[in-house]
Amino acid sequence: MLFATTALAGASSMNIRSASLIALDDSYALNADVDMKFSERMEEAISKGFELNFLIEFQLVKPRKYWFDDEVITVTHHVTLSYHALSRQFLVIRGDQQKAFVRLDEATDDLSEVSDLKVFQKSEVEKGEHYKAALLMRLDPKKLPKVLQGDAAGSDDWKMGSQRFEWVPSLFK
Amino acid sequence: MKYVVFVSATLGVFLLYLLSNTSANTAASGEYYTLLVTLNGVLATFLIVLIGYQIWRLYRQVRKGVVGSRFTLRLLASFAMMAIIPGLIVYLVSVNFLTRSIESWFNVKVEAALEGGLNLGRTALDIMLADVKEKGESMATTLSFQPLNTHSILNDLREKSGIQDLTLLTVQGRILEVSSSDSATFLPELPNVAQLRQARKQVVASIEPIGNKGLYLRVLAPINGQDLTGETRILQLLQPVPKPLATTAEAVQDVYQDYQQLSYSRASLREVFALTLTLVMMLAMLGAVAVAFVLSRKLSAPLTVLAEGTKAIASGDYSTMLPAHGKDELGVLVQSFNSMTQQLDDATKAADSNRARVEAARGYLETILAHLSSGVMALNKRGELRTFNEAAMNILGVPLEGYVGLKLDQINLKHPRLENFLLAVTTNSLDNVEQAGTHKEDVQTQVELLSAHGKQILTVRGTRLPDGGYVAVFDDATTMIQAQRDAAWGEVARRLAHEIKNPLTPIQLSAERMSHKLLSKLNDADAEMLKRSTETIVNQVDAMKRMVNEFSDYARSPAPQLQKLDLNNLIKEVASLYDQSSTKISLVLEKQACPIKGDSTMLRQVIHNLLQNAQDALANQTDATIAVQTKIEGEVLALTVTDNGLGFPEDMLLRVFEPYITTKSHGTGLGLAIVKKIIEEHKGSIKIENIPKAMQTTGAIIAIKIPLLLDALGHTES
Repeated sequence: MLFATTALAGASSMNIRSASLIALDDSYALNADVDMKFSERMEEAISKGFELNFLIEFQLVKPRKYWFDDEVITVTHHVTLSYHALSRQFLVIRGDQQKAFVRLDEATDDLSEVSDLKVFQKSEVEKGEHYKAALLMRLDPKKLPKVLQGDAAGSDDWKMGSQRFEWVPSLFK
Repeated sequence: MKYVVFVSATLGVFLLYLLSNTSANTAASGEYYTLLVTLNGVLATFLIVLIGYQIWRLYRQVRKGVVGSRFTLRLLASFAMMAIIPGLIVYLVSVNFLTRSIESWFNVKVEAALEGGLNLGRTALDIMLADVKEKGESMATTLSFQPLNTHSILNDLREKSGIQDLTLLTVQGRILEVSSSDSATFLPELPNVAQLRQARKQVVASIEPIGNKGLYLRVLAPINGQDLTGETRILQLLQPVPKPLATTAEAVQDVYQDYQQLSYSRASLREVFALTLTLVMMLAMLGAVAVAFVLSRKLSAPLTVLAEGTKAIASGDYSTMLPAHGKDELGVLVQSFNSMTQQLDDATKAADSNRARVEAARGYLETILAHLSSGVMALNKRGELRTFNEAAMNILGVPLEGYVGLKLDQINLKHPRLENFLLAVTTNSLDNVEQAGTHKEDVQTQVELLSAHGKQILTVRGTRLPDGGYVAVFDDATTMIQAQRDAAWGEVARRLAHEIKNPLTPIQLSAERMSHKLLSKLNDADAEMLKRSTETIVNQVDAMKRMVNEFSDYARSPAPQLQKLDLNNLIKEVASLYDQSSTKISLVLEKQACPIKGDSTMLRQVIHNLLQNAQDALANQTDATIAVQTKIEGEVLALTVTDNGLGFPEDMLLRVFEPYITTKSHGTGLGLAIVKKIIEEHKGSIKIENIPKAMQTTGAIIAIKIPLLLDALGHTES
């Protein structure tokens, strides 16, 4: 898998390297490291003013043997990467928090790091239960310019998304 | 089909509307584009299938030669052409136009202008930033000579330089002092960590779009402390870009970005437009073809109906009424077709009823002819047999079925026996021909024919038919003439008996008296002569009396006293009387009883007469045998008396039952006549035949048939 993605040098890729949940005072926060790479076409598109919206989808489920897993929590966070042509800066916007970068790789580094993202309250999970966490990061296709949506565009560049990263968090130590 | 097409067409229009809306609109509804494209594609596929099915059906109909299918095909082809050709032209032109025009939107000049605009903005901002940076540097220098604990110089600096926000920070980013002309903000926007780190060594200047406040110029200048602690501080200058400039620059940037986006995705855009257009074209054309199908079917429907109606009439069905069809020319056509059918129907019905009437009349005539006892034969004007009736065949004893169309002389060749009759008919018909036109009473001719059962007398008459043919009507007069003859004989016998009997008694009495009176007075010789003469007279008178009595018996035979009796017993009884005679009588009688209703005296006379006749016939025969046989044949009892004599002479056979016909030298010839009369009174029949020559012997057979008394028979059987 890894080999396959690295082999496709020109294509955009997104891989979740690691993810973990950290217990805070009354809630849990998500930390994750995403390996993100834009293809040349994408970089060009970004520098031409395309706004890329990424979705960070976190899910906590209670596995069930003979039925679909019980979804305990589903959280989606939005991160936007855009280029401000006037100031020649790349902006990464998380909610109302905005960061500006002069270079794209700086912005990409920032984007690929998910740190201390509050995902759920401690009261939402019960002690003694087994939980499974899943993380997915992908480009939001609905926010793309219309012509690039759907199959008509026919470009795989714009179908950027990570694998579904699943792990068993140790919530109660 | 009609509804399917209209529903699909409506659906198609709706979908196309949505699709074109989506294509034109750059809003978020883009996500439905794929769905709409798919839906339209599905609809198009459905229409293709529908049209394909219709075409296949039409093709099959054309192959089968279904009425109206060719017309439908032609109409369909014309409609489809009318829809497809302009559609295709419009489509091709539009696609061409679209691709070209999309290309023409993106030309170098526009891009250069936009980029120039953007650069202008950048340069303006850069100049402003350089100014702020300069101010920041000078302020930093000023502040570096300022002791740490002195205050309020920041406000002075700010007011002097005209910068909106001045913030004094530690290198860690902690706020030491703030001076702001903007009363709305409580805390200034702080730089990020990277900026702070950079700012320790040199002046950092950047343009930043801050949240919703617009563009800001941020300068971070390090202040190297001149005092002993040497602590470095950082001065942040935050100056908003003037609103008009910011707005314009942002607008230019937005347009530039939009333009870049569009330019970047123009291939996709072209594809989308082309796809949309293609779909629209396809749907429109398919819809048009589908509608063309419906229309052509609708147009050809009345023609189909008319064709079917014509077919029905051709096959003789006039009851078909075509459904009314609008008020246009086709409707008028249908209407007149219907009225034509009605007239044809009426005419046919009239013809049918006429034919039926003629048939009935013919049937009536045929029935009359068939049940007529007279024979009827019709000839056509060439003299050939045309028709005949049942009675004709019965009377002539010839099956005429095979001779229709033959001339009479040809029939004559096959049946020479009918010569007299056929000759008479021919003669009559020829006579009629000669006297055609003149009304002459029918000539009745009597013809004698020889048949197996003797002589047959036919009375023939005929008349000319209006069409030149001839009809001959003839009756079998044999029986009638026989009856007339019988009646005449009866009358004669009665008269004779009456007239002759009366004088006989006085003659006898006178002779006897004469003998009585004169006998004593005469000499022996005379007396002897007288006696002989008187005896002769008396004897002859007696004989005459007997004869006359026989005649009178025949003439006024009494009514038979019918009662149940067994014929076998009667035969045995009579036969016993002939035991002594030289002739041998063999009795072959039916084993079971033969009850009949009859007069024993009369029947005894019948048997007696028959035996007597046979005995007389065998008078000089050496091995004379009389066979008497009774046999039950169904509902009748057959009695046959057979002798081995010479049989009857042929010419006598026909009249053997007539009185006074005899083969014997003495005899009245009344014996068989009386037998016949008695048998007829018993509702029986009698027949006399000679043994056929083929049998190697001679002799006569007298066969009598008397109905059995069935009740008694059934009774005895049970």
